[in-house]
Amino acid sequence: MKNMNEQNEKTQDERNKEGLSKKIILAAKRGELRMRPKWHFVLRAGLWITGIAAAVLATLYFLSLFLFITRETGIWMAPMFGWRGVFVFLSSLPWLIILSILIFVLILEILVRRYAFAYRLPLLYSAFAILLAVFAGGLLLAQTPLHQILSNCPSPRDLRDKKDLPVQPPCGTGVYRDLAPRRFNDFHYGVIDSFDGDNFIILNRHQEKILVVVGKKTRLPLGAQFEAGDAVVVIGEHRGGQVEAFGVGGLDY
Amino acid sequence: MNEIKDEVIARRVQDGRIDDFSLLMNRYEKKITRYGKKFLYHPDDIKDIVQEIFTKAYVNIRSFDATRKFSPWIYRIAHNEFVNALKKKKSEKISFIDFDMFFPHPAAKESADGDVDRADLRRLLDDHIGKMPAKYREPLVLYYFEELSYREIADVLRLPVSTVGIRLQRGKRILKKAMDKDPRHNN
Repeated sequence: MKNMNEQNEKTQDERNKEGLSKKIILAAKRGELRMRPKWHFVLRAGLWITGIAAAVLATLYFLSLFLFITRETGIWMAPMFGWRGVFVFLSSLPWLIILSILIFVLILEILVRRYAFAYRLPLLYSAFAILLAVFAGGLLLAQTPLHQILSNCPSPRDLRDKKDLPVQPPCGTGVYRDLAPRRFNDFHYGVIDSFDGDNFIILNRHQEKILVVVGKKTRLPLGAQFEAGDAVVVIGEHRGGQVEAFGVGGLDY
Repeated sequence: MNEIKDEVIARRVQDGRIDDFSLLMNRYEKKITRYGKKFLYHPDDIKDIVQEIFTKAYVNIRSFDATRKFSPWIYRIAHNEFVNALKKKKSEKISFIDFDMFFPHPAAKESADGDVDRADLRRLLDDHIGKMPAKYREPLVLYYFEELSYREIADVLRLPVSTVGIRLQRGKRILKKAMDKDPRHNN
């Protein structure tokens, strides 16, 4: 009896199997079920790769912009002035750009994890590899004059030589008006234009002249001897066209 | 007699030999159904999903790269369909973020179990599968029942190979604990 039941079950199983197979083949032959053409998958892969390329370019752009801003403005020097400098540094960082970089890196990670070379690796490794690659690319891009040209802001060298200065100050066009060389809180940078005793006047990127008041408490680099044409960063409150300097640092360019 | 490889048959189907698709179905229907039984309990649900899996496999067969193995490709479709079915039923919590995926697990290398050990674990798995968390259940089933390698399982589940290894290790540990508690295995 048990054997007969088993046999019946087997026959039913076989029948089901045959039934499903026949059903699908018949539907395919009738044209109710159609194989997607090869170009459909090629197109899909192409779109995916385009998405990856777009995410890479966007990440490179924002990362190089971040490097450009921190380098050109000397904001990375702010922490040298103690806790106040650290606070100025943190409050002056272009957080919107940092957020954009993180979002695009995340998008990139999601897009590449479709491919075996990425998903077979632990997430930490693939994320680190992506970060390393885009950081290297961003660093290279930041060396090009791309952002300098797009922002239409003069470099410290231009300010010193007083050439190639934008006709219409303040500098910054389009996206750069809000993001690129911006006005930082209590943080000023520019080229020394002239001296007035211990005090000096700097010319900033917006071609504004600011008097920097140097007092006894002003922190200066050891043995500092500034000259006209030197690029400097100054921390201090800006009041009525002058800055009470809390600290002054030299900027290489 | 040498059996024609799945990949060769799939290539023929891609070239328009529709009837050959039934060969692939005959080879995989039982396996996919068995795989589905580890997720769902109602035979009708499983039957419907198996049909959906083969329909999708046929429609998308030209996306299969015949230079690679066929089984991880079809199990990937099956995995997606069964996971979708589970999500619809909301009977089981499926998490998409797992810290196992973040870090490397150097200890979790592929290890060859002895035949006896493997048969034992397979029997145990059958007995205790319902009590296993979903994230350990699937790699165990693919490894012990479907006999896929770590790398193939990683391709099916789109997980790092080391994560597959660690889940198998932990899954086996859970199974062995279950075996110790089970009086049938202690007699």
